[in-house]
Formats: sequence, C-alpha cells, structure tokens
Amino acid sequence: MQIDSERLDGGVLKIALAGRMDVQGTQEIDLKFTGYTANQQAVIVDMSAVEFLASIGIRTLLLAAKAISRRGGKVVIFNPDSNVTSVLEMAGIDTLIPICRSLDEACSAVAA
Amino acid sequence: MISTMAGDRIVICNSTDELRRMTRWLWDGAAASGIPDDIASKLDLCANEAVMNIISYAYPDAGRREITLELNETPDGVSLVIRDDGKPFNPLDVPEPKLPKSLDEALIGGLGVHFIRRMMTRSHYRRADGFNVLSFEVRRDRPAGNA
Repeated sequence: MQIDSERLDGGVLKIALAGRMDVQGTQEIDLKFTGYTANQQAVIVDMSAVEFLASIGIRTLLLAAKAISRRGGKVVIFNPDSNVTSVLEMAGIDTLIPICRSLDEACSAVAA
Repeated sequence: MISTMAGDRIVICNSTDELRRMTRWLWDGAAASGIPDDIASKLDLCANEAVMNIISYAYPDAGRREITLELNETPDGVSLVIRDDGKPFNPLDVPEPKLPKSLDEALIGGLGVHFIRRMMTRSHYRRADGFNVLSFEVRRDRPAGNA
C-alpha cells in the first residue's frame, strides 16, 4: 500500500491511502498511519484509492480514530469506493467515523 | 450442504504471505467462471477473513501446515470450500458481534465471521476426518448481504 499526508488549511491533515488494505497492505502502512495521526486533532482519511478493505484494515482505522477521539479530535473517511463503503457499513464503522463525499464536507466535519 | 462439482483447487501454507497468492487464484477462477467483480470482491473478502482466522487461531503449535481451498461453480453461483487440519473450530458458532454505538466502546476484531454471514448466501461448517471444512456460497442471481 501507499500512504501520503498533506497539510490542508485550518490545521487539517489529509492522509491518502492507496492499494489493497488486506493483511499485507495494512502491515505496510500501519506504523506510518499511526505516526501521522499521532497528536492530530483534525484528520481526513482519503480512501478513494483503496481497492479492498479487510477487518485488519478496519482495526487500524479504528485504533487511530479512538486515539484521535480521546484527545477531543475528529476524523472522517473521504470518498471510499462502493465495495469499501459496503464493508465499512457492514462493520458499523460509518456510524463511528463519518464518510464524506466531498472534500469541503470533510474539512467542515473535522474543523473545530 | 453445498453441492460441489469438480472445482479449482489451491493449497497454501499457514502464513499470511500466502494470502495474496490465494487472492490471485480466487480472482482468476472467478474470471474463468464469469463471476462478476462485485461477487468476486465478496468472495475475496470472506476468503481472506476465513483463512486469516485459521492462520491466527487453528494451530497452537508452530510449524508449517496446509490449508486447501476449492472454488466450485454451483447451479446458482459459486462456492468456496476451505479445509484445514487445525483444532476443531466452527467459526459460524461465534455469536454475532454487537455493532458499536461509539468509538469508545468499539471493539477491535470479530468482524471476519460477521462478513461471511452477511455477504454469503449460504455458509456451512463440518468437522470431517480431522479437518475443519468451511464452505460458503454466493449466488449470482440476487445480491447477497441485504439481510
């Protein structure tokens, strides 16, 4: 998997994930993802280029979201494809980490 | 019981390094059978979750073991049969997870079997001749997972 981070206006951090978020893919980005999200208050996880999501990937997303939330921060998922969206919904994750379809919507959702 | 016909088989060992090879095999078999991508995606996820559970929990002792998968066309769709010689375990006995209402109470794990139950049209487990045999089927004529 690939992972990139980009600083947006208003202290928002956008983390873009790409590839197959299975066991191998998640292991490839897990440490960086945890590192990028550490100490952040407003995080957008861009999943538009994630082509597959397994429970191990959900684990990584949830652990980061829990940590951000405990600090009073906010995290959203941006633009997952239809397969990834249905996996997120089936796991009930969409009710815990909002899914946003536009970047503007995502930025407002994480803004303090 | 899910009926089986002569199918496509793969033998992998109990290592997460094998999951990508299994996935390629699954997509090749799905393509050869004319299985649509959305159905293949569901099989892909359920196979990864089931085999990951086997690798993680079926073998208390270290060492190389074999897991066999067989992809079969059925009258209605496609089925996958997964055999391992690990300790007896019926994943379908695992209770439905309570989906969390807040991040604080969100538990990590237990989702794999949930996906199999929800995405597959039918699933079945049996213990036979020292093997766990998990099979699931997804039909092509109606969308699965809308229960």
